[in-house]
Amino acid sequence: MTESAAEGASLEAPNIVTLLYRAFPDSPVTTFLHHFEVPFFSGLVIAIVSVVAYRVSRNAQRVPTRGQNALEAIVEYLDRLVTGIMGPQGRAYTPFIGTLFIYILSMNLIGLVPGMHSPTSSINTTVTLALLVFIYVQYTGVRKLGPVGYIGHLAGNPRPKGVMGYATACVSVPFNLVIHVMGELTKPISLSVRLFGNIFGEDVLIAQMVLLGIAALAFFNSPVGLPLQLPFYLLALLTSVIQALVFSLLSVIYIFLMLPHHPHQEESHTSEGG
Amino acid sequence: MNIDVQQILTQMVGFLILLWLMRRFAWTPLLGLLDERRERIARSFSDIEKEKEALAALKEEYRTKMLEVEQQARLKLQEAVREGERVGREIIEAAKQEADKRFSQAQAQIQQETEAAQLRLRDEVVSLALGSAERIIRQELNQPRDTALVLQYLEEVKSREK
Repeated sequence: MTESAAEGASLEAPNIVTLLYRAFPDSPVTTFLHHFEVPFFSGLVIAIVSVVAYRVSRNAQRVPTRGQNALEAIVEYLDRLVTGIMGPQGRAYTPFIGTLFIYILSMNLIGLVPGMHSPTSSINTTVTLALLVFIYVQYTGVRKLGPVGYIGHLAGNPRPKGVMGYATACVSVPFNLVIHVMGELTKPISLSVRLFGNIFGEDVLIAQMVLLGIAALAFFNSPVGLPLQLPFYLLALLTSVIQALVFSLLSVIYIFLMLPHHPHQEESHTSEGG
Repeated sequence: MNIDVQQILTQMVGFLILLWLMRRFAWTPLLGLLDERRERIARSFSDIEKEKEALAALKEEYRTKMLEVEQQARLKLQEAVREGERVGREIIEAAKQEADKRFSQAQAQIQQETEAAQLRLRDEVVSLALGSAERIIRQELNQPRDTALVLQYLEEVKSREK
């Protein structure tokens, strides 16, 4: 991990933990912090988000204050996002998806603050989130479909009729099972790698633009470089929101696909798959 | 880009703590609040609709009552006009009767007064005649002159009566 941190440090802008570690390389505190640099920033994000949520919702009023209004707008937007895709049953999944969105967005954005680091630019963070979604999706599947229904879902919900139907099922079920299991396993990989790649790339781009800006004014021994990273900050703001939204939306869809479908939904799902 | 299980587990615990905190402090209270507000707004709209309907019904009832009142007023007015006309006719009738009565009374009174005047006149004529006779007798008895005098006197009386 230390190697990876060192690799990352060479590409991304130095953060407060890296600077402390460079200043006090022998201190056990800075060594610990450096070792758990990514969880440290994740914890910081968790603390900030929790405190804000607590402070705003502590005295929730019928006529909302400005802060409550903003938080309510976010909550309502996310609730509509989830229930818009899943219908009224989606309300049960709003807390998970909403928290995921806010957490990812906050982690994406904190890297834009000088001295901070985006935890989502580490594959460990994105793998964690993707695994959580994967576990939650499978858990939801087992809970909603039952163990037999869950396996049936993975086997492609076979409903054989007659001898030929059973013969076809004998061939298609193992095939479907393998494909579905592979599909389920690739979901967390695609989720984690997409988020990691985008945020890491964005942070590296900003760091390189900062270095380029410094190099541009190196002739004058200027302590401050040209702010070449500014346009990319705007791009990063957009990317951060989009990536958080993509991750959350895909999670909603994965959960939705695992839920029992009505006949017309089954048809549309099959036609989409075809 | 190494996968670190220790980091992953730490982050999982972190996320689960955040999920619990957010569910406790944000999602449950705020979604409840939003639902309550949504229901309240829907209820308010429903109440407004009901009140609108009640208002429309009340307006209709008011309009109907106004029409009834106008109808009644019109009827009463017509009745009053009829009553007025009847009373007028009665008054005129009474006035006519009174006038006739008074006219009859006046005629009777005139008749009486005429008769009384005639009587008085006759008495006066008689007394004058007697006085004249007495004077004539005192002067000299002359038949033609006396006759002429009496006739002249009677003419005078007639002319007075007229």
